[in-house]
Amino acid sequence: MAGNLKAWPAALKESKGWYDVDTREWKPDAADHSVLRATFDTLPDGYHLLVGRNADDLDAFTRKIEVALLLGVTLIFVLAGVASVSVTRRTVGRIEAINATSRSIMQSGLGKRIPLRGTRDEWDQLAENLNSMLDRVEALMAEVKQVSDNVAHDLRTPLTRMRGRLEKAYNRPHNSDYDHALIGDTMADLDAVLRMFYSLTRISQIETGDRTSAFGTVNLAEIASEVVELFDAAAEDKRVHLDAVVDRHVLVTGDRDLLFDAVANLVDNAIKYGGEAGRVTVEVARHDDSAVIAVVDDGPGIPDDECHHVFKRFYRLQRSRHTPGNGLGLSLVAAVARLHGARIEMVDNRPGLKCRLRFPSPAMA
Amino acid sequence: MLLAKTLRSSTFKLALIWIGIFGALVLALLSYVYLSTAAYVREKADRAIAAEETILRNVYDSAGRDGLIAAIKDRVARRTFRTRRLPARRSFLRSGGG
Repeated sequence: MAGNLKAWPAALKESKGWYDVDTREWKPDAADHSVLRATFDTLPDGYHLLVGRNADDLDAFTRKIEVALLLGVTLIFVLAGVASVSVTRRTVGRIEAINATSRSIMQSGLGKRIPLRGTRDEWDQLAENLNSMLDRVEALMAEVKQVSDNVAHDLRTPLTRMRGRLEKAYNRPHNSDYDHALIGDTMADLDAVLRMFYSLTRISQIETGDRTSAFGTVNLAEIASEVVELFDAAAEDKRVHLDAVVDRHVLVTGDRDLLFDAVANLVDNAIKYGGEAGRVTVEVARHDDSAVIAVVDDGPGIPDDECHHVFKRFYRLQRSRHTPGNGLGLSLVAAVARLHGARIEMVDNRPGLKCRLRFPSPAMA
Repeated sequence: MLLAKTLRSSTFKLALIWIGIFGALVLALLSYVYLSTAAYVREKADRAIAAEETILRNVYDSAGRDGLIAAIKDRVARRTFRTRRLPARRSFLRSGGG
């Protein structure tokens, strides 16, 4: 036996091969044990040759790599966990704000809005859109409330009047002439109420129903002439000079009946509010990219600050509250204009008012 | 409250799924790096040992058993002299009888 091993490792039984030998195999009393990586072989004369080296440094090296990789993996997982929690938390926080707002809207009404963070990100955009949707809903709700209030208010007057009249007739002896007049007045009041309901349902039909399928090519000049003809007698009663100034063919795509109603309403208003012995003109003209029909009067006009309100249902100017009417005429005009994609322009005619309906891209003649 | 909602949210579950997929890939990659590094280091050591054995076998072939023993003793003496601690290489010869 030669070399620096004190004993032959017991595990080596074969004649040749590779082996990892623990030093304790031949030095059981050694305090620190290490591993020997060795190859051994049998020489031709029966002796065994073992060549090996201490593998501790190899093990230490691989253990270092092991530790580094494990630390790296752990760090990756921890970082990923923290990142996902913080990102998710932010998202959930924004959703929670929207949830809280919608809950409080369900509980206490449409006044609440989703708070913005001013980051201009997709969450702020969502919040902004939801807020403007809420604004719109709130405005519509207010409009519905106002309309129903107005309906109630406008119904009360004629109904009270009719009830008073009937009560009077009930309490006094019958007189056929008087009763006749009374029934006539009551029927007139009822007609006014029915007209109001008719106008209301018609406006909401125009606003909600899709009538564009019934559109055809309409000559505005023809409509203007017909309206002038229709209101000739009414204008004469008020000594109003009514005429039409029209280009021969001004064609638009639209619903003939609705356009007729709209122009008729405008002319009716002009005669009614334009003042005695005034002048009302219906102008129809074709421009490059639009067709215009305008009703012009020389009456008192509409104050600037009220221009936008006159298209609301039941809105009536202060000075015309005592005249007959239900405040639905211009609402109908506005609804018809919206349906046709037309723009309504109220221009001061000095004196008087010029109400223009401007239709886009007229149909070719 | 918000943390509980965060942990229950679908976004977080999605994030967990991705962490799982990503983590599995990272683990696979690093395991490969580890195994191939370890194999390379071990193979290099084995090659050095094999080279040493080849030298000793050459000594045995040319100078016989006594030459080999002398070479081993010479090596052991030099190594121990050079490094105080455990010798880097051990070679030794044992009789066939055990």
